[in-house]
Amino acid sequence: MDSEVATKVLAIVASVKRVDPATISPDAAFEELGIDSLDRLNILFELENTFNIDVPDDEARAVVTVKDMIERLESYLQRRTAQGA
Amino acid sequence: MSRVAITGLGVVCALGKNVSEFRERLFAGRSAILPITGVDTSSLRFRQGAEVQDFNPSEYFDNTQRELLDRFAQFSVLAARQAMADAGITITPDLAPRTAVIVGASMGGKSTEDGGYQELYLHRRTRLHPLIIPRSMANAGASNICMEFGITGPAMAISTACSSANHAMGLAFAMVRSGQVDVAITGGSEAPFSYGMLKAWEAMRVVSPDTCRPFSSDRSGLILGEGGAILVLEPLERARERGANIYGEIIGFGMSSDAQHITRPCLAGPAQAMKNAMADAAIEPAAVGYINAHGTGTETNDRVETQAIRAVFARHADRVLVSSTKSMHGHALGAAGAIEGVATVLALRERMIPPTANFTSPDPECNLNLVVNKGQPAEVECALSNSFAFGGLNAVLAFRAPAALGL
Repeated sequence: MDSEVATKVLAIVASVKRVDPATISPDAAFEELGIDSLDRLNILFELENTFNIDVPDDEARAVVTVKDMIERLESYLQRRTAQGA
Repeated sequence: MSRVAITGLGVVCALGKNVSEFRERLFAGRSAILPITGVDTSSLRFRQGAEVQDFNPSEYFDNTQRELLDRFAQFSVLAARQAMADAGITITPDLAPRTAVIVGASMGGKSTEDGGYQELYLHRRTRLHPLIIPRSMANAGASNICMEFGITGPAMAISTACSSANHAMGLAFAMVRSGQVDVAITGGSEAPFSYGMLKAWEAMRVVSPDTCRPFSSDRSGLILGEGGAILVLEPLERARERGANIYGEIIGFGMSSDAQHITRPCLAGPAQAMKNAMADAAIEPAAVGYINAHGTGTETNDRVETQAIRAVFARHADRVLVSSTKSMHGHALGAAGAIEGVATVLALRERMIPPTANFTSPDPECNLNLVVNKGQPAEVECALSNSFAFGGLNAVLAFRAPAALGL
């Protein structure tokens, strides 16, 4: 969880929830962090803008923890780099 | 207090441009969800919608009216023309101030606004068309109905997102019941297919990339719809005296506010609105044979609405027939309750329950007595029509079949 992607994701989640990034446990489910459906939309919006990506709705629904979000994003960005996109 | 009769119906939506077309497709379970043609969807995550097909405004409006009326207001005026002709009511000088026009509209003229802002921001024009405000204001439908018929009584638009039309019809019902007016023209209209609006809905992540399958285990979201529907209401005695065709009655109206979350539905608010509608109608849950559900086709709405129906109807929830006609005419937002009100009135009158189309497999969390994929004959005395809006504002109408009047 110490990659550049992880840092940015944690910063986005923290800014949407208006808390210190250090207080966010990546393994916790969104619900445990008090992140509701509308917060998730805001987080996705910031992620899409920050990383210049489009997250499909079913992919967005499948993510349940911050860690999950970071891992999926890292793997997607690696694939995109490999494809020279 | 008067009993309130429904004596005129008008509808323009994806299922049809009049009551007869609407009725035929409604009971056949023919979904009118198709690829969106009015807006370029190449950069959207969804492509399907329930647009009014082959709609040519010049068939219905002269040049002056076309310039003045956004598509959403055209739908309300057209539906009102049909409903007033159906009711056979002429607005005389005596009746003009005793007639109300109460119409739901959630978004207003978004295509007009969108077009104007494109000129401003994209094409760098420095001035906007002077009719953008009168075309796009949410009360344009109500105002143009008044002007069309010369109605000078109480008139307004009600804007409570997806509950707009039910709130409008509930208020109109209360005004007729109390004797405040002799006739009410009520319903709702919406035309949300503008690029800006579709992008905004895309960001909500509630629109299906596939189709609308309410209560089905593989449901994947709502499908936006457009259109307008109008009901003419008057005191039952007045309707009988003038020998009017009586479709049925509105007998109760229930409202509530969730006061919980701006978009996530909860159980308590919808349950309270259904209870309030039945209490207002002075009927027991067992008298209700059909519920036209809010049934948007989102995972959460359909699960929570099921829980609310079970909480209110207890064991009778196993028997009461339920369907969501949004599976056919889409979610027409501020017009939804009006289109679904017409569907409910026709169901009671024709003793035929319209189905939830596009249904594939049951969801244990939506274990209701669903009518799926084709109309089901059923003699039902009373029905509810549910509308539960973003913002947590709930409005439920109770209807009674004309058979209860010996018709």
